[in-house]
Amino acid sequence: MKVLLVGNPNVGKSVVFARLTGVNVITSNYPGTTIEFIRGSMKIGKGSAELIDTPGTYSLEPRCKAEEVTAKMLDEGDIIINVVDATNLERNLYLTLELLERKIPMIVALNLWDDTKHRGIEIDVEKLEKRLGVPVVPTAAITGMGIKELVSRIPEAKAPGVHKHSDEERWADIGRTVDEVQIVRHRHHTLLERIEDASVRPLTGIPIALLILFLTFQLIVVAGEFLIGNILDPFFNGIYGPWIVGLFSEFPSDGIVYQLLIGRTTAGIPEFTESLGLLTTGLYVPLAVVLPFVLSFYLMLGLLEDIGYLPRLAVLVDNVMHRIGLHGSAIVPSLLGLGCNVPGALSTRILETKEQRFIALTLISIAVPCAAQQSMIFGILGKLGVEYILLVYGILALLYVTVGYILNKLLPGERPEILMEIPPYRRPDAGTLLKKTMMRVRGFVTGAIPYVLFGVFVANILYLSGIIDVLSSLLGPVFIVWFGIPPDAIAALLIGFLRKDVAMGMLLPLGMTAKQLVISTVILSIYFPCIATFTVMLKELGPKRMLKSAGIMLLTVFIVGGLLNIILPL
Amino acid sequence: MEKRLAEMKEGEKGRIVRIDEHRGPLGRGKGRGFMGGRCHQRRNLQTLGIREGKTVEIHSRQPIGGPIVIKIDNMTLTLGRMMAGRIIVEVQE
Repeated sequence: MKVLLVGNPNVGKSVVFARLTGVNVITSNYPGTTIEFIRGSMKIGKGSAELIDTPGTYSLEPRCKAEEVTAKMLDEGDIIINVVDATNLERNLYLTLELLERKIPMIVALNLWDDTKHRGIEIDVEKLEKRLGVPVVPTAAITGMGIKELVSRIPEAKAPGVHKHSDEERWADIGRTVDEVQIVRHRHHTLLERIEDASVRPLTGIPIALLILFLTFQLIVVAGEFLIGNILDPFFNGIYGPWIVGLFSEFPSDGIVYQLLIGRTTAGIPEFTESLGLLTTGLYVPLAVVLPFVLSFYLMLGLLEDIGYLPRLAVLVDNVMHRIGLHGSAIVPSLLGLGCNVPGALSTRILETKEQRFIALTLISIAVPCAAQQSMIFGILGKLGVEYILLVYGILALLYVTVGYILNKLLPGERPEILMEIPPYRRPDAGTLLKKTMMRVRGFVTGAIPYVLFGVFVANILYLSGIIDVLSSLLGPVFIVWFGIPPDAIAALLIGFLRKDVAMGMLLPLGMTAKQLVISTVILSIYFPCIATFTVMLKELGPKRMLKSAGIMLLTVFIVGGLLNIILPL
Repeated sequence: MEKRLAEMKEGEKGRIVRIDEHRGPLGRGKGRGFMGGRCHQRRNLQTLGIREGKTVEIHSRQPIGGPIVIKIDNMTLTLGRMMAGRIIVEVQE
């Protein structure tokens, strides 16, 4: 049996799902984050059923790809649990009525019930049940209130056989229902609402946004560096390094096995960042350089999502985003992309048109470095000085806006404007936040490490087989004359297709100047996405438009790399 | 007095009397967007709770052509200026 969880965005649907199944799921406060549906199994009486969490939607006539999924999945459901926001009954009932017309047995969870009291809302549940003709159960998923009753009443789910209505009939029906079952009392503004207000008004909102982003960034860096400095580096340098070198002491250090697995060592400890050994660099880079930042990044982003800050940020940046053909909501895919480009690329589905998705995907690929690449940027450029890190970020930010502006001018079609709900700030649930963060981190570990190992392996092959030498001499002139960087950097660019963090590490032994490092770092970010992101982009865009996007990337890298070489004094 | 939502000032309040449909090519063909962004606009507004007869208050307006933030019922919503230009409001004095 299939049970579908259906409801508007921001009604706590994912928390209800987590309560019913006990399986880790992504929950968040941002409209449209649950883009791919999540399955789990739940117990009903003695039997068990499959529970499917559908993406939040306001109506069964979808306005973007994410909402389309929900409308399509309805056909497969045996029972619907319609999650309704009790503090926004009127708007939520529209979807409820549409669902009733589908004649699938249904039960309503009147969620966020705990919020109704301090919002001065009173709802007569029995009357509502009678009007709708299906069971209605008040719930507060965050505390678990009402969940048991919801499960026990699932067998009572009914399909009252409502015939199809027009829009006007539905709204009239809703109006009568709300008048009959709901009383709203006036109440004073709370402190939280004042903060909600201030974070949207431009005069106060922009300083607040800058402060929040600055603090977030600081916390990510501090937490990441703490983990590296106090746990991971001591472990790799003090314990793992000597151990693994000792383990292979029988092998000649210039032999192929030793070179492939360990690489170069200094004083009995492997050169973890640049030795390109499978058991040294291959493990050190993903676990000790990248993972700490990925962990702290997802923890902070998850916190901002769950509190409900991101829609406010979307409002504040909308006017700039509009000029690059997108709208405020597109800030979310880009933010996600700062963690890993793959989820960033996937979440561009919240955008309405093909052209918008093309622009967003191309911009993420060109100008949004993932956490893996960023941690290496910090590690490598940070040694030279903070100004170089800022320079790289500045160049990428400028590119984001410039390339976006040009693409917006060139591409045809309409650019839909922002239209969304700004949900109230909500207290984040520590358990849900940790679960979500762990799920994302697990995704990184299982997804990234095989690619890193493969990347390191291929890098070794490229060097050993002499392919690098051939390519360097072929493309050498372009690299030396136009970009001003050594031709050996071509190896890093080739590996960059597999992993950008490994590629960054390969720049280190080339002994480049600060200017050359800045140029190579920027080039590495722009020229092409890593293979995992490429796969997603290809699926989202199709071969023809992927080719177009890749063309834009190569053109951009050629122009920008050359310009930087000419302009940068350093 | 009737005003377009896009012309209302911060703090102004009123009742929505009409939402004009986005005129122009139907939502089809190249570059027209998913499910035709245009022809469904009025409906999109309605399903979010922006409907005729509702009382709306301007919460804030973002600078340089940015979106408008409004309050309807218990909700805070944001919408672009073009869309707001098609919503006619009877402003309370």
